[in-house]
Amino acid sequence: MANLLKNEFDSLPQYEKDFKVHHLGINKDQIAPGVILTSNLERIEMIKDTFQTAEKQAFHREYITYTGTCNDVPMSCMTIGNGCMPTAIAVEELRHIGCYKMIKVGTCYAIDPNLKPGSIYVPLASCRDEGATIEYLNLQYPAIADHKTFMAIMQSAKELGVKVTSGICRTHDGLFLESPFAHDGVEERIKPWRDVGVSAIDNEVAALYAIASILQLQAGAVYVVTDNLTTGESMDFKKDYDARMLEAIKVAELALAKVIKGE
Amino acid sequence: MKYKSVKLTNNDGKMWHIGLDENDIGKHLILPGDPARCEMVNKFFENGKLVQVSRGNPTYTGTYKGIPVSVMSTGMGPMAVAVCVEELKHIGAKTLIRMGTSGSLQPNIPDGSFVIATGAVRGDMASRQYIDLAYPAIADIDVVNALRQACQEYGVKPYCGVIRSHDAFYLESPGAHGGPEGVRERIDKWTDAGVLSIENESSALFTVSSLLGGLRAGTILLTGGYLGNSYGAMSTSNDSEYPKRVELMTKITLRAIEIIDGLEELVDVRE
Repeated sequence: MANLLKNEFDSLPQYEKDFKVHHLGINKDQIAPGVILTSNLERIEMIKDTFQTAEKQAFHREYITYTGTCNDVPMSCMTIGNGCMPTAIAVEELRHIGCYKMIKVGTCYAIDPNLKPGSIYVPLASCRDEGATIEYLNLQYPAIADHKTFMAIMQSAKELGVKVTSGICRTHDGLFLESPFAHDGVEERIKPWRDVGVSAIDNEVAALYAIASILQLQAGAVYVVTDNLTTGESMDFKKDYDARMLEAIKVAELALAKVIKGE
Repeated sequence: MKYKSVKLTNNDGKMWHIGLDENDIGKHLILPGDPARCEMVNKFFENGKLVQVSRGNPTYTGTYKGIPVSVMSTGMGPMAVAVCVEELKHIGAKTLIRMGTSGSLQPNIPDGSFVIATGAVRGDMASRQYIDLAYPAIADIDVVNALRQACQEYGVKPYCGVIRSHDAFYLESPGAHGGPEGVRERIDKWTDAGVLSIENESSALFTVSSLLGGLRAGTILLTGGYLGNSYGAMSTSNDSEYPKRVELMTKITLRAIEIIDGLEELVDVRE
């Protein structure tokens, strides 16, 4: 661990042709100072449509990148795939090309019975019940949102009149173990977390927060709660999903613009 | 816990994440991590056609020597692979062969070699959430044997043995933190333990496949340079021989599927 103690968290960019980083397939001229991230590749269209301008830069593995303008500042949006492994790569390579500010939008499952499907949820921090960050640092280190980014999200929600709930999330790697379609034993698995006040579950945010903060980047997240694993309630996808997701996207974009402008 | 997840479909009756149903896939599947590789594999199919692109991952289905086959990318990492295995099982998949790349952990394995995994070090977290580490991540023996036989027929000498799977690419790769010394610090114990190469998907593929039952899973990898002395260079994809080697790996994998197709289907002892 000698290297880590010297604070040498500095990975080596894996450049391909035109200085494009190996997995994202883009270079420093193709990314804005801040980026909206999302897991689902289909959602990126919805996000870039809210931009004032957006040009597709690359579609490489699970990474689709658009760069343009949003809320009058240069901004990118990019997909990061499912789970912490591709998320960790995204954070590392965004840093390699000079993008230091990021807000993820996406969906999560609630376990707090009071957190209703359709709510907008802002994870303040997340339990690191995943594999990627454990390889970086032991569990004593917290996965916590960048303070300024978190505050910008809360302020933006207020300005846009969107009600948000914040809380401690839990990130894990086994979607089919804790989801509406899981194997036996969901209640046994979520109860210990619910009992200590964890409010929701996702698959990426702990890696986003912990690795961003280790690398001294700024990260936040805004989620739409789709289902509640404790009460068994789900949102009406057809009726509500697009509208709620759009709200989450707008909050994230306004907040990211503030962070980029240093407000 | 009984390993039986709920078959969750979308409004079109397709599996929620992979966007496919029973009619969309062949029972034997090739699973690269990289979507770009699917189209190349499809060129070896008869009547191969793109059936779906879900979350960026394409699926092509056709036949190979009359045998129903598909190629579908899983995306990177154990979490994504576990989701694919679950949903493919629901729609009738029987054989899952990961065809990917890996970094070598052994100085004596030449660049561009093929590694066939007999098992994987469970350095990932997804499989741990399914069952504790005492349970082994092993490839199906028939897939291992079929891949070995296919290699032999193509005059290729593969390396067969244990590989390592894990969740954090930028800790054990040519671009890892801590420079060459940092990489060595993290990989030396696996080199000393005789682990052949390192990648990010197989431990979840093997563990989840055997827990769900009725699935034959295996892995063949094109392997780049030894990570201990190739810091800074992604040796596989930058090599001019790379496309040819991937093509050869595809032919080997398809020949293995042909062999496996001749076997009786697996029986799950729990059923």
